[in-house]
Amino acid sequence: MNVPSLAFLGLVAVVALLLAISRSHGWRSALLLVANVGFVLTFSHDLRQLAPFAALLAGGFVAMRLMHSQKNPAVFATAIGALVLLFCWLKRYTFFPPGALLPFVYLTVGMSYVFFRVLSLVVDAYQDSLPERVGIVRFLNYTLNFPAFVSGPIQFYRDYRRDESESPAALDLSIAGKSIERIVIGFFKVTVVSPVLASFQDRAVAAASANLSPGLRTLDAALLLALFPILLYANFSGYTDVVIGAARFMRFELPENFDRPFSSKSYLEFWSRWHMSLSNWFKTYVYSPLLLNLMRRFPSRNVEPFLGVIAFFATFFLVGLWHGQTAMFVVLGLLMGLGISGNKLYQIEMIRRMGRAPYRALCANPLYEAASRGLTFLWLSFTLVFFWATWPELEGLVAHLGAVPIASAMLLTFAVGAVVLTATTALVDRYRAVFEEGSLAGLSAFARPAWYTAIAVVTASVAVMLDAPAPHIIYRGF
Amino acid sequence: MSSDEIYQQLSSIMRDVFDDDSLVATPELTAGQVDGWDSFSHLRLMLSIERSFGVDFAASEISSLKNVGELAALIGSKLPAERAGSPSEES
Repeated sequence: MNVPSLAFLGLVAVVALLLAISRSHGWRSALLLVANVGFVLTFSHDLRQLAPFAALLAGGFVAMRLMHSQKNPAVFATAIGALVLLFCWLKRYTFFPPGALLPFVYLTVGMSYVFFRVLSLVVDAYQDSLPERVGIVRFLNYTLNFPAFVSGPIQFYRDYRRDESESPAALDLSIAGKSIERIVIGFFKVTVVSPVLASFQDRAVAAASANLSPGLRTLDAALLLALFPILLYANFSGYTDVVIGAARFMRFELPENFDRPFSSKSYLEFWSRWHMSLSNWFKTYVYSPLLLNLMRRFPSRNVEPFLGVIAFFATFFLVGLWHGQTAMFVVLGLLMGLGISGNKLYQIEMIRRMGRAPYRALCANPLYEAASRGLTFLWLSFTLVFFWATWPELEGLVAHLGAVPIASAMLLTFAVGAVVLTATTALVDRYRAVFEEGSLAGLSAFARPAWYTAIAVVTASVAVMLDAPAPHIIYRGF
Repeated sequence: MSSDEIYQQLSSIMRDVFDDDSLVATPELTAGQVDGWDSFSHLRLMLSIERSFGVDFAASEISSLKNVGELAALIGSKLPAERAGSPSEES
């Protein structure tokens, strides 16, 4: 089943209605199990295609139960290592020889996100931070939670358990209304905005091989750099809007994934606003344990900040590597790691030279802020080239566009990014101050339904015109 | 150890970690209200607390805290029974 789609919304509506029949935990748990397993079966009925996925789940469940009683660090490390290896093998990472991979097509949709949940349960069980011994039904309901199955968001177990176990407040008109708004805006982003931006992106790629003047090549390269981050945001945040809004009808509060990422004034800040559930997962299970261990091993106040730089690099290298199975994603990981650790190193050095208060004052300077936004956007755009292009495509683009137009395009992306993103951030702040929190907030009771109805009509019209079965979600591939 | 003693010890640790002698640990205090309390200094704080109180934190506990009140409660829950105690027991 595609997410988002009308069929998905239909399934959520049916499950939400059935959940409302009884507030007993047994009913909620059994119904969710049927819905979650049923949802996975919509991707395949073939047992052979489902078996590898089932093996990952079974391995995870056994490892988690083992960790409840087994506190040997070597056993824990072996269990984690085996699960990571199994995941990489099933995801066909290219460091495995082709002959060692399974010779048939099998289900991998949602596998990465299920893997994160499984791994967190194993770690939590080992560290005795789970509230109880997790049984098979709750394990499956958590790991396969169908609204977030395909591409997240990644919910922590403690938050999932709160939504599943505690009697949730009844769905009122206010929550329902806001959830519908969220779904409408999500569909608009993935059905209208994403295809438009994707078509511009395709045209910019095609134009690169035409015989363009140096000025047009600069413009084309700038479009190639700047379009994809916005396309990815529209696509992925649209998907997230739909699943968060839909899950609320089942009284699940999934975590947010985006918080105005393009307003970020540094790459460090950007990663606290972009794909937040993923970065929180990595912060909890990679960055924090790694840095704590490093600080225990090298207990020196002078060295600690640099240990933080190392931990940032290692964590974001893994984040990049997770995005794909080829060498391109090794480069993506390296660039992400360099960006985040370089940013941290710069902060440390500036605070050391200037002092914390003067550095804070510098960061609040409007010109410095705008330049920081431009630089953050440029670095993001540059790293994402290794996300959307293959090596042959990249070589072709560089050969056709040329070094000077590409360098000029980077300057242009930086300058336009600084101006446009700063202006957009100020406008959004102003809009919120006036229409959401200020004197005109009362208008929203009348204006909002009309506004979202208009967006829904536009989205439905575009969907009918495009006649596509469901919008393409870029992160579904992970 | 009483709740007051936990907060006193926490105040002392936080002053050292954040290099601010005016800091006082209160239940409502959050990271956003303390200058320099980012993900890195949060881990320095947690490590200092582990050393000072003789407790260990799990990965999910470190990232789930919303304010100092939750942190103090978590520390209290990890102290051995003879060291942990409620204010009412102490008074």
